[in-house]
Amino acid sequence: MYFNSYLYIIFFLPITIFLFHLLPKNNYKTFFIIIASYVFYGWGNIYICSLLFLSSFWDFCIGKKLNDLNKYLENSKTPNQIRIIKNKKFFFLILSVFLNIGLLVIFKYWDWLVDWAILKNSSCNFMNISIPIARSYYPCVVNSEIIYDFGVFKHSLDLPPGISFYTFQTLSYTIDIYRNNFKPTGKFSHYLAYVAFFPQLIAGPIERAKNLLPQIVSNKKYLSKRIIQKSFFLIFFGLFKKIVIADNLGHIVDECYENIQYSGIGFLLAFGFAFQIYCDFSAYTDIARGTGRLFGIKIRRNFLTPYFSQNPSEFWRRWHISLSQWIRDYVYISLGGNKKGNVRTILNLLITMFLAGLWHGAGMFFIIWGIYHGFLLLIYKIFPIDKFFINIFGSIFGKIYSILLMFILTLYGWVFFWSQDSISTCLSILKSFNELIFLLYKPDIISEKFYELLFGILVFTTPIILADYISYKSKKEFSDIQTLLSTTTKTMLYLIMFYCILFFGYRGSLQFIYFQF
Amino acid sequence: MKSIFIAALIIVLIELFLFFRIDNETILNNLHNHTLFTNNFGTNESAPVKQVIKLKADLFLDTKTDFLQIGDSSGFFGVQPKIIETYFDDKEYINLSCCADAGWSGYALYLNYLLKKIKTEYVIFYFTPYSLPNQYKEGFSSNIKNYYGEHKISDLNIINHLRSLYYRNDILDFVYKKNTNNNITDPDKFLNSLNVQNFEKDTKTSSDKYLDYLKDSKGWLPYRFNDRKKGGAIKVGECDLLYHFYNKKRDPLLNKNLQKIADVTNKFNKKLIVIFNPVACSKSFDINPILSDLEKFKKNNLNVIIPFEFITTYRANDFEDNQHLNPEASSRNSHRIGSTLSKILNNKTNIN
Repeated sequence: MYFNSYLYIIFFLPITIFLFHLLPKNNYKTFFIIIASYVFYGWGNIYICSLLFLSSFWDFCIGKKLNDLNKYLENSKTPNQIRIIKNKKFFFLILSVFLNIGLLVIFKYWDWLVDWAILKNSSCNFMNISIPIARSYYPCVVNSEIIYDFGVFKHSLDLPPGISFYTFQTLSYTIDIYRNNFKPTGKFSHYLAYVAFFPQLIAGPIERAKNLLPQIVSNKKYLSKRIIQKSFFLIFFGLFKKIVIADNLGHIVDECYENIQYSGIGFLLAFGFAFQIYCDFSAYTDIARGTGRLFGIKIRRNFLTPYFSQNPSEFWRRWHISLSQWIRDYVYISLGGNKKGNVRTILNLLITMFLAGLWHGAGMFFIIWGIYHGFLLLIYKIFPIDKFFINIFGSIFGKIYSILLMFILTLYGWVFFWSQDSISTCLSILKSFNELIFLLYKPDIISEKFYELLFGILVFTTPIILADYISYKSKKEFSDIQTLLSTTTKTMLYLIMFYCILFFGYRGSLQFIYFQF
Repeated sequence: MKSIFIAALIIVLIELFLFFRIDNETILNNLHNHTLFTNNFGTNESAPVKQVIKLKADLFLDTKTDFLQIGDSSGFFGVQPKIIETYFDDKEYINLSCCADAGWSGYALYLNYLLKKIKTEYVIFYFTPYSLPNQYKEGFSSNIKNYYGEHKISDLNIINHLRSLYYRNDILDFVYKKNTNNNITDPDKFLNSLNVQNFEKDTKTSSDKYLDYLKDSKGWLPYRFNDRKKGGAIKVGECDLLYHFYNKKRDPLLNKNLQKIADVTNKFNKKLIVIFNPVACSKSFDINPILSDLEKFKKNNLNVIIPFEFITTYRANDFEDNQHLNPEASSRNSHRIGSTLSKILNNKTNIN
């Protein structure tokens, strides 16, 4: 079920909230969350629920075992006992990593790896190689004879939605217990609700057990006027960002690519896509947070005006915060972070960003995008350009130039991200992007199409740039700022958003981009 | 909370006011406006194609013909009605084929609409085996349904009941469309978007008069790239055509979807003729599943005429790309169709 569907907005959400708050006991509420979440997740394809349940089950069992071992460890006195228990703990940790990453590899990367390892590196002439529907049919043809159908190595299954998010969530649970940073829940029902909690199940934020589980266990799930108001605004603003901004930008971005032969259009594509993906993803988070609040559960922020970052590390503190922190805590720090000398720090950073790219999907350019950001982090670490700008141009202009430079560097990253697996696509966009510089000197060669697309992009990005600028300046979330406005202004804001969704909203909305990850 | 209630109240008042001003019928008649069938805004992915579909239909609405052809672009560019007409004494042929984007359901809906507006005896469903009509652009069929489907107010999605949507198109035009219109009225843009790139040379007609030409040619245009290589390598050798034959669940699509077209022609009591565009590749064992699915369709629809084999092989030089014949080959193809149809219909036999 999608957040931006009528089914969800008009039926599922109001009914589940109403029933949830009717239930008298917290235990009933927990079970209700599980049922609602599985209905939400399995709507249209009930089988994917089995995978979610299986993943939850084995991590709960491993978590329990690790917790028992932690207790034994506390009571162990001899070095031999300690060593044995530590080894056992390590075994269960590896088992959890193996099962969770294995699940990801099978569903997300397997077909891609087969393509890469067999289909693209074989001397066979493969028929139907780029055909999406009959994709399991890959006959190897040598001298006009079919030798073997390599399709048998590919499962061609659709990626279960949200698998990257919930496997990371369950993995963090076992790693935290392994590190003795968290005491696990005793009840399987609480754990099931934690993993499956539907607002954040499909596209995050990737919640940590220490934040979400205590809230699920807690009896204090009440609704106040303030919570309803904030939740309502978050959901409404999220829908506005998704249906009005992101979906329409998506179409303009596609149109940019259709006209990529014109100079400068590559820049517009990257600019449009930067805001499309931001609005799309942050819209999901907003709706998730708004919905979570209505169930008395606080889900954390995932974005913090990312395009106002002055350097790459700030960008990653503001963009997809839950993933950045996950990768930092469980990969970068596990690899030794910056405490093992310069060479290891560089290597750790690149490995971490490589994995961050790979997490986004089975595509060469996702990896390149990750590594590109790794190099940006390194360059800024060696030579902090933002600080240099502030020294040269002063605090205000230095900041502005730093933000602009970081934004342009981010745009180049989005070109890789958007290109996914096509080198020619990437090169054509980069060529058109870089030609923007000529347009500045020769405005008369700017194509009519450039102005048309620029107008479209400005129409849809301006509201978000303004909203983010206000948030950035006031250091407050936009949903918090609205609470400070007068009733008349707020009413106007709601009316504008409602009629924008009605008049400008794209019907038959596109899927949330991050569903594919 | 107060602001939410006040906003809700204002919205209810606006919609109530408009509810009494705009009735159900007006909403239904105006559906194409607020579903933005031909507006580029937010639907730009297929907007030019949709505009071509609408434009061709509008050119021939409320006319009478003997053969009405629909289907994908292989038929748009591969069949010349005027050549076919030479094989009959006084029969007319209109080519309303357009674009594979419409997909199977789109064709059925479009045909349903056309048969209400155009009187015909035969319906020719023409498509290329090379890419079988597919639905690779999601939502296109539903867009066509919004425009060409039959509606009752109770069928509409809840949001479409809001009467303010009546003004949607005007507001979009005001804010946006005028600035980003693909401008279908610009002849060069129109013809280029269809890959009719040598129009003046091929037709000896000024490109400004492309609409007159389209009407005069009864729906045919000469498909041609300036540089033939733009069409890409043309597949020769054995055909591998299975890629649009199955859906994602690996169910065969041909019989099931041809039946959708046959159901519409049966509903209007018209005779259906199914014709396949030639391809550059040749028959192979690979297409056996398609042939057996086609057999199923034939068995269940004995009244449908399928005058040609599923695969008719032409030389690679006859094609501009895998799906589309060049104007010279399209002329030969039209002679082939005309002569076969005249034989079948004059003898009243089905060569199948």
